[in-house]
Amino acid sequence: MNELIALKSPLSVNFEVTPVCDLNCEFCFNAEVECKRMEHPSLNQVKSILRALAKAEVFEVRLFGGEFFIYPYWKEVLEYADSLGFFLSFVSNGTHINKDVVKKMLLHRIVCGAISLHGKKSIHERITGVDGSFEATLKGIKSCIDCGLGISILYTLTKDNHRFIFETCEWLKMNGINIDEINVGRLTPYGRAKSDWDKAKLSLKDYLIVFSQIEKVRKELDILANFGDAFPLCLLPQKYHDFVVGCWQGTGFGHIDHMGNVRSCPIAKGSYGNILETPLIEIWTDRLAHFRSLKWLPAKCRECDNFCGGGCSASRYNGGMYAPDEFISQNEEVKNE
Amino acid sequence: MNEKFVPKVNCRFKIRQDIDGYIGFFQTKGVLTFNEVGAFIVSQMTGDKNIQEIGKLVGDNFPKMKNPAGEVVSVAKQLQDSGFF
Repeated sequence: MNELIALKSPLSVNFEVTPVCDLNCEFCFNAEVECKRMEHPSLNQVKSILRALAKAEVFEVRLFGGEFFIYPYWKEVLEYADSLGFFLSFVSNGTHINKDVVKKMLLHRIVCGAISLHGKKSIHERITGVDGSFEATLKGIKSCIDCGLGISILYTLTKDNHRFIFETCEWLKMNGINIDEINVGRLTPYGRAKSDWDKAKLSLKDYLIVFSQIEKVRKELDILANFGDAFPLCLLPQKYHDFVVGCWQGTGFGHIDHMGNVRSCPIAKGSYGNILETPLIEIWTDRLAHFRSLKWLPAKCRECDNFCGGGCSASRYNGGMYAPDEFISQNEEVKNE
Repeated sequence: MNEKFVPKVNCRFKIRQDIDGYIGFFQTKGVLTFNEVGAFIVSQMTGDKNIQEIGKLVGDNFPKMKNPAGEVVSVAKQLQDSGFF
């Protein structure tokens, strides 16, 4: 039987330093917290969370939000996190990144990061809900590339943009924006995307269109295009299997929100515990044991020789903190032992 | 690979003891797992000791080990083949 390995703590975490964001993305997983109305956490609280992560010997912290670069003390966070010896990276909407911001990141040993871009101008701004956000994001991407900071584009799939991955990458290349990588991410039924899920969700056929474009981006544009989330490999042609990065949540990867709550996945809600109250090592080793046992997956996944983790555990509507992938038949028997 | 070779891992890295063995995190390159001796050897590959000197340190710290220099060469070759030098 397949199962996930147990580590004492995540190797890498997304740390949601602030829940506040100035965009209004139509699928935002954080929408229920009304990210524009939230208040930033105190710097002391952020530092306390970083110390708890250091104590658990987490290697890498990906500075995340909300939008990390609108946190009033983002420079202090960089300095403090670097002083604790973390490998640092970031996930951003890019709209507040300029060359001075990049220089500060390089000073604190950040060598790569990820910026969200969901299509060309009209599509991107329809998704973010903010006029001018496309140009602002491009400026952020260019600033990073010009200063030698590696950038991966995060492209969250929607009904609106899933056919335009190749077109977007081609446009970037033609306009001299030489990205290292694009990671295409699944739309999941959380936050704002949940409210009209039947209309918003992508079909298996839609995903096959996505994979054909990933192949085309790799072949014709020489850009490393990946499917950045997990997907049931048994539903994909063999030639696409290597495109799927997969997911290491609950073993090597975790998510910490701005209050210190631990999740295994950035998207799926709930908490396994709070690292300001309970050591992360205790939370990670004890409270995720059932998740890692995979007893919640159908037998065919647990016994599969080409194990893919059973796809994305955050993809099923009303799946809670984890559930079998939305495309794995609900008729498959799951024995809760 | 001779004993005068000075191995230096070409990226920033850290190693931690975990539930079952040791895990090394190598910036932008990925993750490797080690046993205790392997973790000790890699942590010495910072460009200031040659294979022979690292082998001596391994012998001092793990006296039951039969061929410490051979072990260092073996680890160094694996890292070299994987593009870590």
